[in-house]
Amino acid sequence: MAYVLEVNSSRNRKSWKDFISLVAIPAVVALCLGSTGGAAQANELTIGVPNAIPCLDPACNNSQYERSVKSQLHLALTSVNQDEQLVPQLATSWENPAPTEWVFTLRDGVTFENGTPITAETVKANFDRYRDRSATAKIAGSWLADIQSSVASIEAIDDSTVKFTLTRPWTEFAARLASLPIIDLTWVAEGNDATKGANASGPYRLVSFDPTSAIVLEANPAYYGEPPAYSKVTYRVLTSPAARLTAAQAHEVDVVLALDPQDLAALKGDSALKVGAVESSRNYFIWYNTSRPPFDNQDIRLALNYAVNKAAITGSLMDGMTSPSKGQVLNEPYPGFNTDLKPFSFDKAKAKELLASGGQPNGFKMTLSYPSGAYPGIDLIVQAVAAQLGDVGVNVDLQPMTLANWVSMLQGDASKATDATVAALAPADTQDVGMLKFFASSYTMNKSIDPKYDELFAALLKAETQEEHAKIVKELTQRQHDNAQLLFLFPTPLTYAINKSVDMKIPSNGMIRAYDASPAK
Amino acid sequence: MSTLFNKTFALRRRQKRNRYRSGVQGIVGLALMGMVIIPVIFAPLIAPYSPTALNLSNVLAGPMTGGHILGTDQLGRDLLSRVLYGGRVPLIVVTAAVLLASIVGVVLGMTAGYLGGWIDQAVSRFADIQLSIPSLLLALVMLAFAGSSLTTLILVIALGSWPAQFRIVRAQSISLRKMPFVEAAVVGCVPAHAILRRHFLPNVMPMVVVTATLSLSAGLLIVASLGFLGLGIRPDTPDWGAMIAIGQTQLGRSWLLAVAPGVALLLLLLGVQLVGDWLADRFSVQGLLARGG
Repeated sequence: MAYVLEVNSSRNRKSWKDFISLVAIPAVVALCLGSTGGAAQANELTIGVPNAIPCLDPACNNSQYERSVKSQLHLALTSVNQDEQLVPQLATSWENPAPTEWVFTLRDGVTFENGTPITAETVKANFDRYRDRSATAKIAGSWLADIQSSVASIEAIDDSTVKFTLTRPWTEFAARLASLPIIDLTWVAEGNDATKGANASGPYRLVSFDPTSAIVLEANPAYYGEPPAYSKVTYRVLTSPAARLTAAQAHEVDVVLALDPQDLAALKGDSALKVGAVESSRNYFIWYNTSRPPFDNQDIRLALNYAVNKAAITGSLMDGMTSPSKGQVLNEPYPGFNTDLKPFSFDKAKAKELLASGGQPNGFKMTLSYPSGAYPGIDLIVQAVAAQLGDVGVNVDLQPMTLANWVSMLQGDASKATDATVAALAPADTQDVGMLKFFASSYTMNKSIDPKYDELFAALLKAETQEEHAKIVKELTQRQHDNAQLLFLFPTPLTYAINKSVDMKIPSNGMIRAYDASPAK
Repeated sequence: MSTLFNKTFALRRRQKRNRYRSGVQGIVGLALMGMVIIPVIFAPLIAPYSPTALNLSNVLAGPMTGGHILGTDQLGRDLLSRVLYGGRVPLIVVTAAVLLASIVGVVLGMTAGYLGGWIDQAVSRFADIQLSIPSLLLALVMLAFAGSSLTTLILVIALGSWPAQFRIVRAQSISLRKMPFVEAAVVGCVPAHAILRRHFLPNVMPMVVVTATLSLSAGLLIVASLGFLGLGIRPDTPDWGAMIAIGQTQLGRSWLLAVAPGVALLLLLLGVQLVGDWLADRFSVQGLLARGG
């Protein structure tokens, strides 16, 4: 009996030791780590973004998230702050002495990370490269088309003064420059790849670059300004809505964007998070491929506008965070938003009538592509739109694509593109010209449906006064509405979840920069 | 003597018990399969709503509300109807693919086993190469190039399944080739195709059926995985894998969205696996499966 008791007590002692070594110690360690771990570690910020960030060269442009990262590595002449105001950055001041002349005065003593100074010659070399189609053809797409067609010459007047001579008056030129940072071309000439690396001049420098997984930045000691509040920043690529939601629920990220609006409800009960949405400068629309029938027919384009119940979609899938667009691609953030236009109503009978008058009384089949997961709620929106078009006899074959493939399709040959595509485009500078340029006939999807649009757009580029500019923009949006050039849907709500330990404002242009964030007081 | 008798008796009793257990396992498996497959086949007759009918004013409704037994999804579509219809794509794809893989595997396996030589070597190496590539990876690559359609999915699953059939049939055919009745047929100048049809095919069929059952469950998992990854059929077509993927973000608000198709898939997989094991016991091919597969 004594023996048994002894054995048992020995077992008990052993089991307590096992418990301590296997459970208690790791638990205490985990608790200790947990108290300092998680996303909101002091001085570190983790931002979840919905798209891959494939390129760090400012000559390429894949999304506002990519531009956000680049804008923190490289300084531009100007910058757009959190309140969406144009502010000085590398240039301390600028003037517009003639409609086609812009003169910028540069900040003294600014250098790249390796100590190379940034002078007027550096700026000139960068813009000469941006203007040279052959130098950036492989990566730029149409991103630099406006610079290439509108900048006649760049002159370094002295070390700190640079003068741009334009081919046309361009009132928003300084705003456009905010999205064209200056990089170290001598560093590139030494054999470094600017698409994958950076000799930084901005508030952060590059630590590691994995375009489909994570980009890690740290504070740049060579930055001229105040050091950023967070010394280390990680941009985590979370391409699926489920991954974004899970990361937010697990507090693996401090800031996460583009959550599906219906998913926000799952986060609203979390006391550690601020959850919401801002109206972004992106408007969902369906871009008809007008190079082929039946989308070259105005009645058909109009019919589809009447066939979709946008209010029902915004009320349910968008959880009421947005409302149907006013029959145009501009909304409140754009200066030229046309307040006279009204949304196309939902009218199935009218849609069927227009289909008949357009020569398709029994409907037709169409392919509809979209960048899956790239914008809030897009995968559900396309299903709702397809079902509603099905109700008037238009059989939609949905074709999900990766964002990269979708962008390639938009920049490729119209004959290889789908019949229509769902898009939510926005220019980097939230300016009317930047948005309206997508609908000139030089773009893949819209082939010569309205020659007058091209004429008006050319006139817009030459407008010398704000009044003239506003008048032409109004006319352009009116024509686009009357021609039903697109199936106008609704502005995209830019949804977000932010840890309450972080103070950050989400601007409508979706630029999400760590140096705009600070620990909450 | 009595010890030997006892041992024999115990062995028989154990065998009887095993047979009984195996039989129960088969019945449970068949019942589970029937429980899922029959409603899926008759979905057009029993589904209360169209699986694609939207009702945007009644999204994410809870179970037993507004005439929706399991509630509705993010687009207000009836969840029960979608679960019933959602099994049709996996079942059609996997059944067709396994049938195709079995035909290819049996024809090539019997031919390679009977003829031997360079034909056997060539086909066997090809099957080895095929086996070394994970089926899901192969499917992802093929779908990326060819695009997703019913035909592509069937071909993708069949391509991943035929080597298992081939290896088992080939192994059995090599041993059959040395059997006296086959040698007698060869000596008697019976044509090769007749020998394969009369003597080989009936003997390899039990293994083919067992392997096909196991391929069925593997194929179902791949189809569900592809749907989950967004590489299934059209995004608006009900499909269990895609439904689980789209429902996972709503676990807190409407957990049935992901769980209902998941349970249907689980029951079907369990049923197929139990039937496969039962058939393997019934035809005593477990050892051969281990050697061949």
